[in-house]
Parts: sequence; C-alpha cells; structure tokens
Amino acid sequence: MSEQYSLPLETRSILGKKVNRLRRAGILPATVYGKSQSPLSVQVDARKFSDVYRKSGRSALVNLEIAGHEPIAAFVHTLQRHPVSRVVLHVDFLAVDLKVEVTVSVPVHLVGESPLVASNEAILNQQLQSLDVRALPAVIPQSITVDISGLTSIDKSIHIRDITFPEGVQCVMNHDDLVVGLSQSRTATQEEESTDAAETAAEPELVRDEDDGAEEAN
Amino acid sequence: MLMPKRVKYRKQQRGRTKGLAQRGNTVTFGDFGLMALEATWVTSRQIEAARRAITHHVKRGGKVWIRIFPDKPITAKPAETRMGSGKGAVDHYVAVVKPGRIMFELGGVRPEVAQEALHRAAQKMPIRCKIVGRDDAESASAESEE
Repeated sequence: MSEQYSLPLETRSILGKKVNRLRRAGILPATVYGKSQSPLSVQVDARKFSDVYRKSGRSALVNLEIAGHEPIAAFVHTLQRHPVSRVVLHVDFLAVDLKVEVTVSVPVHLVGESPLVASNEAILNQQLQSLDVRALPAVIPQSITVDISGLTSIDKSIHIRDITFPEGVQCVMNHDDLVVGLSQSRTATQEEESTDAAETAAEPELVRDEDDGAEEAN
Repeated sequence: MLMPKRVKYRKQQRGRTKGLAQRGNTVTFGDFGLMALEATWVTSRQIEAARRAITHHVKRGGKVWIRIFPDKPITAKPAETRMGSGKGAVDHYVAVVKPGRIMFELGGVRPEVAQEALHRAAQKMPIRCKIVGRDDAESASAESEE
C-alpha cells in the first residue's frame, strides 16, 4: 500500500489564457475532476506540488485540501509540460471514491542485476516502464518491484504473468506481455559495418509509378 | 544513410519552421535523450554522423533510438549554372526539427557513458542541444531512494 500525501489547494477564479499570470507568480493552475466530483478549477503553489509529486508520482493517493471543501482523495492524472523547459504547466487531478476500484498506471522498479548485463554480454530491454493495475485506491502500490537477477541466460525474460502482485491488486494488461528481456550486445564495429552497406541506396521510387505499373498489369 | 524508400512527390517546397515540437518531445524508449533547442533542418549525413559518434563511444552494449527521419527532399542546382530552367535535382534529405524535439535516445548504458555519448552526438548537430532524462525519472529515483 502506498503512502498518502496532502497538498493544499485554492479555488481558482482566473481562467483561460490569463493563467499565464499565475504561472509567472509561481502558481500552477490545476483541475480536479472525477466520477462523483464535478470539475473544479484550482491552483497550487508550483514548488509545493513538485515536492509532493516527486514522492507520490502518479500512483499514490494525494489528499487535496481545498478551503471550503471536504478533503478530496485524488491521483495525479495528467501533467502538461513545456516542450523545451519541461516545466509543469497544468495538472489534472482525478478524484476517486475510496470504495470503488480504479485502474492506475504503476511504474515498474527493477532491482538486482543480471550477470549477463554486468559482464556486458547482453543488454537489458525494459519493454514496459509501467503496468496498468486495478485495485482499490488505498491498496494501489507506488511501484511494482521486479527482480532481474534471475535473468542468467539470453533466452530468459520476465513477462507480466511472472510478476507477483500485492493482494487485492490485479494487472489489467495482457499477461503474456514482455516486461524485461535480454538481447545480445553488439559491438560498435558490427553496427557501423551494417549501415555501410545501406549507404549506397538508390533514389526513392515514386508512389505514382508503382500505381501506374499495377494498372498496366491489370 | 537514412532516406525514404518511396515518395508521393519527388520535390517539395521549403516551408516554414515555426513553433515548438508538440510531438516527440519526451524521452520514451531509452533513459536519456538529446533534445533540440533550436529549429533547423538536420540532414541525413548529420544524423548518421551523430549515430556513429554515439555507437563509437558506447562501444559495447546500449541501444540507440533515432527519433527523427529525413523525409524532406532538398534540391540544389549544379555549380556555375545560370538561373532558370526549372527547379534543381534532389540533392539530399533532411528532417525538420523544432525546439523540444528528442532527436536521439540512448538506453542500457551507465548515465555517465550515456551523457558523454550524447554530448559527442550534439557536436555533430547544427544547433544547440540539451541532454535530458525521462520526465518520470525524478519520482522513480525518489522511490528507489526510499
């Protein structure tokens, strides 16, 4: 079960393009919505949010304390970031009912070390960075730990079916999906050689020519 | 070098490069990425040079993802040719890159090796670049410390 965090919010009266003024003042515009919660425009101190988000991520419950409202249990649902600076521009909080199961994406945390990766004989391929799990909000784990020390040969891999989830938590993804696998490590010279051959590529063919050829054949 | 296999039209107009990268602006496949900080055309030769710089530094292991593809044909007239008589022949292909675009990603290597490899790749690019990690790496690292 993940830890709970609390975050003080204020209701927001500045809407639309004017929210840029808030951002300049170090305030982050946000929205709270959910099945039993009508959409509510709120604002939060950007620094306080980043402190909480660094610990909570998207898979831990955050108690939203809004003046004049009952505390709301919510997940950080969506973050909008600036394309270059990666600064958070807007946050969506998904309010949840603690008695109803929800589906949340939980990050995969790898522990241990594969002997083949340690000796540079193989590369670790993590196919899934997070898993969608369904559980009551209070029991959703903050991360799913996967031990990779058992990957002792190149043909070994870890699928979703191999992971043991905490009690009351079930994965809603295909259980045959690959989470972590190994692939043969290649030397730099091999890679360079492989592309040298492709360097003498001809001009690209035109789609129109292909179509004409097909019509003539008919 | 990278170039399209088949195209609908042989030549294109130049176009304008305005705004920021609204897509392809997050590190998705690897652990570190090389982000463009300016708008430019990146030629297939520059992409290949950067890829070689990365693989040469990483030596063994690691995986490189090239997140841009040069699909825009650039024409050029031969040297010492008088103006006129139509558009020149296709000379090379470029990828249109806007600020924020993740051009290369690297995974499966130690952070210091990845950063040095991407720094070398940045030297092959015609623009200023920034080495970035995953957006969710902050919260993941906090979890692992706990």
